[in-house]
Amino acid sequence: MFNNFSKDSPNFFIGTVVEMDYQKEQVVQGIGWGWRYKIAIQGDYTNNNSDILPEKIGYGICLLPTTAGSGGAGRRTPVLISQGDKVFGIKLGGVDGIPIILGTFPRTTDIELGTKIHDCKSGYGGNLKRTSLLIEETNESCKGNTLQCSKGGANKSNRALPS
Amino acid sequence: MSSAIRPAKYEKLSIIKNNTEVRLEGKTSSFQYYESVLSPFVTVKMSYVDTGNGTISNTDRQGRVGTIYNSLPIEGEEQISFLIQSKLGELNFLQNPLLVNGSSNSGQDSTKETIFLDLISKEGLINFGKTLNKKYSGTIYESVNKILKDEFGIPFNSKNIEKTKRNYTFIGGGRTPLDILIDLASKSSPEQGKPGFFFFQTQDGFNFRSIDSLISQDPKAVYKYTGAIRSTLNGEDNNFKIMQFSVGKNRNLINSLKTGVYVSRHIFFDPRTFKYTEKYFNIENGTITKLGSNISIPSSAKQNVSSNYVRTFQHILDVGFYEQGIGKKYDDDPALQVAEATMRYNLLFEHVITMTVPCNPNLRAGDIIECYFEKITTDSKNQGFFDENQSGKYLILHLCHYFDTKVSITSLTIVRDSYGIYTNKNAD
Repeated sequence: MFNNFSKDSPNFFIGTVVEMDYQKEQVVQGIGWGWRYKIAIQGDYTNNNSDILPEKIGYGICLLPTTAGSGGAGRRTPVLISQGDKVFGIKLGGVDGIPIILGTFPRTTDIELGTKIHDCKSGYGGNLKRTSLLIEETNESCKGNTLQCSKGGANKSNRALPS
Repeated sequence: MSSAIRPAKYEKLSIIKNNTEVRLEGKTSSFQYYESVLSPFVTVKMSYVDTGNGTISNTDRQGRVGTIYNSLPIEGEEQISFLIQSKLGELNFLQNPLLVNGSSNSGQDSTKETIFLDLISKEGLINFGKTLNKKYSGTIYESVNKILKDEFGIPFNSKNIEKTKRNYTFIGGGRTPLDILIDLASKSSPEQGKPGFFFFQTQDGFNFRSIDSLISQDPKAVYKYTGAIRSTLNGEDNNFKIMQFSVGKNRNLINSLKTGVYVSRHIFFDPRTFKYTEKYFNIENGTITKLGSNISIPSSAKQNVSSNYVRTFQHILDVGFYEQGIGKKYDDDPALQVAEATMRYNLLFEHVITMTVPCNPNLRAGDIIECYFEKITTDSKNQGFFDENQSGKYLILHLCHYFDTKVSITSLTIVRDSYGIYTNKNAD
């Protein structure tokens, strides 16, 4: 209601995307609008699940890079945010402003998963199911050319030759 | 001379720590009590002189008496309870003693030391040990009541907590209760009237009041300023005389125009529909509750507002960002809320006067007083002694009751939004 971004300076934030089960209407059932995700913003939300239930956490809206396409003239790129992702953004309109998600932190091989609000979680949630092919959830430099084919996964360099 | 200006009587003034009570009545050299509409807690600055017979030292092996500062010792959170009796009333904090926030030894020689103490209300100190992390919804009035009840657990006078319209959902976000309450005040609209609230503490406790309701109060006292003092035996007639005053700030037209007091443009972006909305707001005399008569609106603000705005506010609409489920709606008219609140706050501080009067502990921050200032004229004063432009109702913004060994006075910072002795109601 009160997001006067010409008066209140923007606030940067780091947050964790809430599990998809708690935001089904928006991200699974497709009855929401835009690219929005519930994000537990560090500082705004404690790591205590009982302070605010995950389903009551507020939304943030994604901002795409200029190369992604807005959908105009059919040019568009989907957002590939998963549950448990760590995102970075700004709140427009002061501390109570609208959270705008600007980017995600690529997952490392060292991330520790957990169940608390600010813990990182597996990205497999909602409609995304783990398969035998998609085994890794990291995105690091020097760990293979594609997201799924890093350490432990099969890629051109390490797959077994057909016998 | 006024009888209210004479030194007040400390009926009781003592410091308490761990069930040890030490009296300070005879030692206190000055005592300043502060309230402000802009402050969520009351404070005191006081000083006392200690010659070393204050209390038995807890740390002295021989069990000798020493100064309170080092023997009690004063480390913070000690209770100071006091009852100060002045001619016109009393300052009573026996039931709700203030707590020591800080202390300093400003001067010490071999026979005495002078100690300065900073005191703060219990709620003020508790506040800095609490953070709110829950989600609040419903009207702001309901959230304010919940925070006061849950966090401070103190009874408060419901008549000082005013109802608000509009629902507002927010999260504590790790902020302190009083920070949140001040923030909520700036976002509140009364059920009837223009937006703009203050959250503040007085002798009577917490207040969450709209500006409209504050300025609609009946005057608590009438003060007059003349160059002469009435000579009486008991001095009663001079108890409500303004001893001295100065105009701290008067209307600054350019600043008012720049801050959007009279005209402003509001641009809204709806992130769901991408709709661009532009609205203009200009002040209208008839719709505002004022302390004086009509507000003098600058000529530029009366013309075509769509080309005469100076201040532009840009907003992104909160389309259900903090609601559960899929929010597709937003508040019906946030433009009006923001614009009117900006106008209301800025307008109130257009005229600021600081003045000193004989001590009156009955006054509170947020009270209305009526002030009459002598008219300077070469014509006859028999036709009217007081200046009809400068005189009238004022709101007490800050207040300080000052007591020392020679005088008791009250210093006030008073504000008003318009000139004139007559309000709209009186003028009609």
